[in-house]
Order: sequence, then structure tokens, then C-alpha cells
Amino acid sequence: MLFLKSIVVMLLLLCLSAANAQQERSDFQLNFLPFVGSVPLQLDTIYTLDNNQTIEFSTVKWYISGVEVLRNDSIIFTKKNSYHLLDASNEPSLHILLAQLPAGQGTHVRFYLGIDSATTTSGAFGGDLDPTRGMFWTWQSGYIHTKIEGKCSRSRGRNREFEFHLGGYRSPFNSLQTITLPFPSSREVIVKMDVLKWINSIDLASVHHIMSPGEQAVFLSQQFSSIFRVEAR
Amino acid sequence: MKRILLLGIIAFLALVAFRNDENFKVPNGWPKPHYDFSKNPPSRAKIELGRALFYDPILSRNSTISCASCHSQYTAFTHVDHALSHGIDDRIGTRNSPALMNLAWSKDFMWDGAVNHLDMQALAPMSNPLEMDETISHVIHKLSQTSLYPSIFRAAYGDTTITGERMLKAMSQFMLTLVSAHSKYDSVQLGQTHFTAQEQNGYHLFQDKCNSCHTEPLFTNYQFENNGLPLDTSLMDYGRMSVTKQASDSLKFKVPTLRNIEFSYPYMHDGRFKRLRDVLKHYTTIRQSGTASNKLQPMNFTSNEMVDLTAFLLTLTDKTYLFDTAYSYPKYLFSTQAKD
Repeated sequence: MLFLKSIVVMLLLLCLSAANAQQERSDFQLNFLPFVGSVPLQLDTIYTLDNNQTIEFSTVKWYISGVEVLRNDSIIFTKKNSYHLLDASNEPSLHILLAQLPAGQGTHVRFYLGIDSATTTSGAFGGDLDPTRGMFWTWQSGYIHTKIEGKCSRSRGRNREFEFHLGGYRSPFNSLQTITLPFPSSREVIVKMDVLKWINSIDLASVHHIMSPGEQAVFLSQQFSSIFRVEAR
Repeated sequence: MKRILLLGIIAFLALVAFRNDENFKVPNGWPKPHYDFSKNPPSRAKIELGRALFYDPILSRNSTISCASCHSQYTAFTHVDHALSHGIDDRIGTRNSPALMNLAWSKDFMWDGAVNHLDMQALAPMSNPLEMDETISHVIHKLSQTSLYPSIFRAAYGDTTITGERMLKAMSQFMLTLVSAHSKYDSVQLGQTHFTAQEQNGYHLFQDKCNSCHTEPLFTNYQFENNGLPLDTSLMDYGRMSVTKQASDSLKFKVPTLRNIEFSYPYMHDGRFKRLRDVLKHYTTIRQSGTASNKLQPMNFTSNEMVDLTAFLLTLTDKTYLFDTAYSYPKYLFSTQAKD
């Protein structure tokens, strides 16, 4: 009897491993590459633009969370504990590993720009969400999902500075953005972001400091979410 | 063998359950706390770590201001006698520091609810230039340089790593233990004693006129209400509206608990009333206006009624809370630090 049982178990295990072998899995990586126009972004570097305008960035940081891979409309992969602070000054932070993904299955990748409101209202977290990372507002709770600071000749701020701390999770000024991009078959997925395109959508002469949630933060978050591009290969 | 193992597991679970009970107990007849303890399970070591941080001025830029500076136990953890609380370098803030108690039931923090979770509360005074004028990153750096904190972080978390998350959660654990539920009012509810005739009369008035906002047993409905106070034009503090940016929230502030009100003077978000009598006078003469709460009604208290109502409010004083040594300055921790 016991012998029979173990044979059944063995057979079941064999079937399972066969099924597994059919669905090959491999590691993928999302690589975020900030650009200024057509050149890769370097912090604290002055770029000369058209009309002799100049721009430089000192801080470029943003949160990506809830990374999922889709096959058409169905989710085939969900990254666990997916909260990522990407920081242009910290190269390793620009890569997100998607481990053991069903190979050749994904058609789209979807993620949030920002941190969802359930997480935002659930207290202290460690890792990339730790408040010591400087991305949590102290005077009014909420994550800053995008922090971009620098100088531009168009800015009428002090010393031609601009400072954008985008966030806000309360309705009607919830700034969380969902971004869906095509998912190419290569294992290294390049996500290009032209920060200059975003900053060109702002009238820096009048808007150079946004530091709190509101209508403008939502608008600039929408604009920022539109600069993410995946190169088709 | 299996049975022994099972018994062992049950005994272990019972022990753990008992220990949690010991660290946090919901008083009889109280609602379920809002704080999610499963995300920050209480332990004695974490509570004691939080207590040390609460009393340590290392949280401020120049080590002069601790949480307890504006939240003193003997006055139900508020800053008694100061309409507007003062912080570092004698800078004056814009509001009256709220009394701290029964925080596990609170969903929003600060007078305007700007802080959305108890864990995140300490960040606000730490970084406010009028209060502690510090950053959490620098506090963590300073803590790691002391001889005391690495060891008590290890006692609490198993290793000496100090992170923002660990620090804030330990502070929450201490603040969650601040439960005030042993007033005369509570004894009356438990049938252990009786109100005097005057207190009883005050209680009836309270239930009729005040309970819709200052709802029993926590004596707050945890809502934001405009109680008819005119705007202080020097402070220009519109309360909740600054958080939500909705005109309908203009001049709304969080309804404070009335527990230990005898000791938490002065009253209101800007401490404009020194005495309970002033508060009751305000409610007697109140007029409906703007965003004022629809629960407000002219209360028309007679002077006798005011006396009775005050007698009832004094039954909300919890002396065991004000003098419980578990909440006081942890001398035993700081005295060892001074030696090395």
C-alpha cells in the first residue's frame, strides 16, 4: 500500500517538473536611463540648449512601485515588495531585477510612478521607503514621488533655481501615475526618460518651486509619467 | 511525541498572547484600536527604546528639546501654561501642543490631521524649525555614535542597526502604551463607584450637548469640526483646509479628547482659553457661521449648569495616568549613559 502511494507521488512530481520545464523562466532587468534631450543625464553638468539657454540638474530621484508584467491584459508576473527609489546619483538604483519571469511571454510592463495611498497611510517602512531617504514629507504625511532640482536660465527663482517635489495621495490631488510600456523580448529592457522634455512643459518663469500636493503637482506628475519610453528592438 | 510538540506550541502561543496582553490592553467597552499592531507587534524592549527616544533631547538640533519638553506627563503630555508651544531657541510655534493619550484609536495626527499615521508623527516636530529643527537622518547618525542606543536597538531588534523605520516604530510602541482609562468616569461605567448628584447632572448635560463631537468613551469622534472660534488674524490658521485645500474644511480642527482636561489647559488649537469656564462661555454664546459644525447649537448654559458640567469634566481626570512611572523619564537608561 505504502509502496503504491509513493509511486503515485513520484509520478505526480514527475508531471509537475515536466510542466515546469515547459515554461522556461529567466531573469529580466528594467534599466532606467534619464536623458537630457538626446544625451544621457549627468548631474551637476551645464547643458546649453537652443537660444543659449542653460540647464543643470542637481537632484533627479523618483519612485517606481508595483512592477507587473502583462501578457496582453492578464498579469503574468508581479514583483514582490516592489518599491524602488531611483536616484540619478546612484547608478545601481536605476536597475530593477525581474527574477524568474516566464520567458517570451510578456507584452507589456506596468508600474506606478509613486507610492499607492494604502502604503502611504500604513506607517513606517524600511529600505527604499525609509523616511531617512528624504522622500517623505515631514510636515504633512506623504511620499515625494519625484524630486527634481537644479538651475535653468529660464527660471525666475532665486539663483535661477528650480525645485520640484511632486507628490500627494489625497483625493482630488492624488498624484500617483500608472505607466504601461511595451515589453520587448530582450532581457535588458531600456526605459529612456527625457527629463528635458518634461521640464520644457513647465513655464519656469512663473513655476519654479512646487513643494506640496495640489493641482500643479498632479499636472506635473502626469507630464513626468509621459516621458518614459521603451525602445523597440 | 506529536502531542508533546503540539502542547509546546500551544504553551508558546499562550505565552506570546499573554505578553501582548501585558503590553497593550483594550479597556472594557472601548472600540477596536485603529493602529494595526500586527505591523508593529509590541515588545517590552521596543517600548523601552521608544520611551528613551521620547525623553531624549538628542532628537533636536542642539540637544535641548525632547518630545517631553512640550508633552509633559504630569499634564497629560501637553505643554501646560503655554497658549502656543515653544521649541528650540525659545522659538514660538503656531499651535498649542495637544495632550497625548489613547493614540492607538486615532487615525490622524496634529490639529489639522496633516500626519496620517502614528509612526510618521515624530517626523513633524523633529524637522520643524520652530520645534526641534533636525533631520531624522542626522538623528540616526547621532544615535549610532552614542554608547546607549546601539545596545538598546539590539535589545529591541536583535542587532545594532539603527534605521528610520526601527526608530519610528519603537516611538510608536511607547506612545501606544499611553492609555488613559482609569478616571472616576471609568469607575462609574464599571459600576465601581457613583457620580455625585452634581456630576450626574453635568453628565446629563454633557450627553445632551457635547457628546455628538466629544463621543464617549474616548471623548472625541475623531472628526474635524469648526466649533465656531473666530479666526486669529495674527496666526491666519485655517486648520484642516491647509491639508485638503477644500474650502469646506476652512477653520476645522481635530476634535480633541476631553480626558484629563483638568490638566491640559490652555484650551483650543491656539490655546486661546485659559480656563474651562472660558470654554463653556464660548459654547454658550456660539453663533452658526460659515463651515461651523451642524452639530453645534447655542447651548445657553446657566451658571449653575456650567458648574455641574465642570464637575463632570473633572471626573475625566486619571491620576494613575499622570503619575504612572512606566511613562515617566527612564532614569535607569540615561544614568548608565552618563557614567561612560
